[in-house]
Amino acid sequence: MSGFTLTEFRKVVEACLEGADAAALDESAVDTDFGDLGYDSLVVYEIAMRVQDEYRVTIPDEAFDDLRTPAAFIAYVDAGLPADR
Amino acid sequence: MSRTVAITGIGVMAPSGVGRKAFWDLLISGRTATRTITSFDPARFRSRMAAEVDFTAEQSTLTPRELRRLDRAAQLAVLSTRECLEDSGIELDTLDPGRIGVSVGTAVGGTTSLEREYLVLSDSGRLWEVDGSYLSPHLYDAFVPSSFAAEIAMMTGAEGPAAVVSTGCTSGIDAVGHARDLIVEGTVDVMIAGGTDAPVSPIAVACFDAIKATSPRNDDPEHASRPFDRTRDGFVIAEGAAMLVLEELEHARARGAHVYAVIDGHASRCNAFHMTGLKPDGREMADAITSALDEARLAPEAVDYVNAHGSGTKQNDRHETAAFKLALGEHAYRTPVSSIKSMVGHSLGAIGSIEIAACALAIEFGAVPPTANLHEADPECDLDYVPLEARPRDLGTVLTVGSGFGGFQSALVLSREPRGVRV
Amino acid sequence: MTATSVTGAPVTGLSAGTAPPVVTGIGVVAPNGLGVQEWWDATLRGESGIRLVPGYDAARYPSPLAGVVTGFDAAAMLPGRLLPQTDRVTRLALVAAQWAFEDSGADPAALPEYTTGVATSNATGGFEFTHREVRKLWTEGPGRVSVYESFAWFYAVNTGQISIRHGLRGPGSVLVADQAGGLDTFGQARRMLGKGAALVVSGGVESALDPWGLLSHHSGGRLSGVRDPARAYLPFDEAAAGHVPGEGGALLVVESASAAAERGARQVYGQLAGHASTFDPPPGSGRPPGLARAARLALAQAGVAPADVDVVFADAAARPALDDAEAAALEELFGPYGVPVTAPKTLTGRLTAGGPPLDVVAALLTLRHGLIPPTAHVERPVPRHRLDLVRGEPRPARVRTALVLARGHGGFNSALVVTAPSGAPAAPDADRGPRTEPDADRGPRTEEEGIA
Repeated sequence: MSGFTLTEFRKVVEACLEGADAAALDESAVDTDFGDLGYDSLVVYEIAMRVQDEYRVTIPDEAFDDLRTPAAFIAYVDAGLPADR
Repeated sequence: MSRTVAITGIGVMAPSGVGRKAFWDLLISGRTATRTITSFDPARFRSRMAAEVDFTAEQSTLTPRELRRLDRAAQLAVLSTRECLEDSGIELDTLDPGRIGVSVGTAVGGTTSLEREYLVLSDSGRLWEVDGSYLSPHLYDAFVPSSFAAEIAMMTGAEGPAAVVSTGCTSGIDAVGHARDLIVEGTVDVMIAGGTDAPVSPIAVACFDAIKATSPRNDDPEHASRPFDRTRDGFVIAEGAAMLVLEELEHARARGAHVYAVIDGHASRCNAFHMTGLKPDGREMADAITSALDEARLAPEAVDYVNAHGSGTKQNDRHETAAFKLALGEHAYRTPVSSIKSMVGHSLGAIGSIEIAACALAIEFGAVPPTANLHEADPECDLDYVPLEARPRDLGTVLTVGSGFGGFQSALVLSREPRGVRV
Repeated sequence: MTATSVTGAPVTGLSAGTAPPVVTGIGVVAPNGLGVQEWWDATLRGESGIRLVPGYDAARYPSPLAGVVTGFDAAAMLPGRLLPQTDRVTRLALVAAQWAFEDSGADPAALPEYTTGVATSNATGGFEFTHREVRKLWTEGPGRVSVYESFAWFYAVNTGQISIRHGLRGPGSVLVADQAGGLDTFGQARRMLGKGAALVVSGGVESALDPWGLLSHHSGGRLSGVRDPARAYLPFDEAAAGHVPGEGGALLVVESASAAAERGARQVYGQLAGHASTFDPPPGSGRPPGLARAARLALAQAGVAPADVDVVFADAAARPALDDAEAAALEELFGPYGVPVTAPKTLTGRLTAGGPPLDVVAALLTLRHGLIPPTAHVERPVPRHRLDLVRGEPRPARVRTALVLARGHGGFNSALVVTAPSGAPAAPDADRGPRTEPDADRGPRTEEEGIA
């Protein structure tokens, strides 16, 4: 049974950025603010859209205020994965 | 000798009512025209509201041929043009057609028609290689939106410069600014100018959903557009059009035309920052304001009312509050500021012209439209936003601003005519 | 002294004694060449970029040919973060703008803030991008539309993205007038410079060659159905049967003459001396079309007479009635065979708002190199047009004044006058000249070439 980890997150980000540099997204970057990683709000919304679609997790508008780092995002999605996954 | 540009006719097709009078009545009443979308089933969308024009094309004065070939946005522009021409009393056929031009703003052009035709050509999206056997000869006019300007030029017989100005959400203000430039520089004496958009179509609604720019307050559409309020959560998309007759002032006086106001100045800037994001400092909008006032040869203290962009997104209202303070200094705190998007929604490339019409009517009737739905101002938005109720006020000079995707920041200044002593 | 227009009204601003703005940098993205040198060389050699549209079965459509930009590797030329958010049209435009800046040597950051502007024209937006998104909307659902759709497709996108990439905070403009907008945008640049801008990036780039775009071009009723790329787009020819659409265009760095001089611009290609646009009268009015009047107004603004014009870059619509009307306008202005006329766009197709900027580049290079590029593929010029159409080899000529014409679907007419830099003779530049040798002496025109 798989969860949502940095590995899955990186795959989604690479798909969103069309191969643009997702290499910076390693363990050391997980607690870095998205803005400091160069991901503006549009990129975060795009990542969220794909995650919601592929992993069937709902991320409501209100949640975004707290999803400021990869770590926060990954934790939120992992916790919200449907039970049958 | 410098040339002055007068507004001598106004035509409006705005949410809630057909025509200029219905528009002004709505603005003064403080009622809103934001509702649940009716033009398609919005159930699967995040934001399910819009301000639509209460206008059924088939029941209007448009001919069957006009209905067939004109996108809805073009229809709104044509009907607004008829009204502004009648309002101005100008007899275009007595003028040199080469001295009459057209400038129409639109952000999304023929999107409604394009999307409708797409479903046919693609067989509801099934075919990437769309099917030419269903091709309409009028598709080109939706494909290339300068058809709007061509339609207005043909109906008015204008043979001067004609163009669509398409700077996103500042199209409506920039189209009028452009028209002003053409008169001031001496190229033309009359411009039919304004803006139109009919973006209440699934693709447009979906694209604003994706960036969460529109309000999701679907259970309370009438109160969803709440600029400057602490609880604001996005704009409400709208359709509409406003067209103006702009005339060189001496030309207008010579024929005894009624002058609503003169357009003193216009300026545009780019924030060169982000296609949709805004920095909080509002510097570029402030510089557009300063530049427009400079062109008008007016000091900030001359401004009696600021008609805001006031789209109702968190970032916009904060951004332009900062811009007003930067450009107008202390005077910003003494000047009423309001957003009519609270009532008629945000019609993208049209709203700038609709707002100019509102400003001209405000000068004419001596009243400032309110910001509807403003019950609890955001502490960061601490100016006088004229909450809920219109306010009688003698207006000499009015400033209107716009801000749009792509970083466009525009400002336009109108004054009552005669304006008093010029600097 | 205030100049007056042909109607006697005062014309304020630029022509009231100020030197015209100058072009100091050029970026070209064209079906027959990426970069201004490659494109100019290909144009002089008659190399065409018209082909069957690739990427899908274009042959199923009635007009399957287009001028297609090939070899464009956006990933290699642009920062990765710009790729997801840009349609092909914006990628092309950004590269063209970058090349124009590099060519000009101008540094926007060194100029006073708010004095650097962008004026583009675009008539079809980011069409393939929006086609993909609309398809996703209707096949997968609203939640699948990209966050970038809100700005990747609209007509203002190129102006916006160029202003961001180069930090240009002055005025931003976007005009749409079908193809004619591609000249109107230079009129807008002139206006911005007259109002205090120091530098304006101006021009246009278009791309709408996905199936829905191609079919939309076709719906205008003016495309050629001929399937031979060398025979499809033949303006002023007995076999004229419509045009071929295309993608691409050009962006130019335009500066006030004083700003260019002050910073020691490394080159001045020429001056944008005058612009005008008109709209045709309604059908059935009995009034004449407006192209000749647009030309006259532009010439008046430039302070030149028709007799001063050394070459005309034609609109070249290639539909018989439209060709007849353009030829009649040229005869009215210049007399029969009165001026060399050419349309290098037969090698690229008509690029909507991207076409006239490319014609302006052609005019500037003609001025610089003393060579008029020919109108390729045209073999049987219509005799009654009485045009001195430049065909075959590039024609050496001393050119100081060029007139560029453009018309747009619906009735738009525009004209732009391009003149040699003041004080400079028209002569080939040894370092930047064409890679082919110009003909030393072409000899007198013969009857076969259309002189009565």
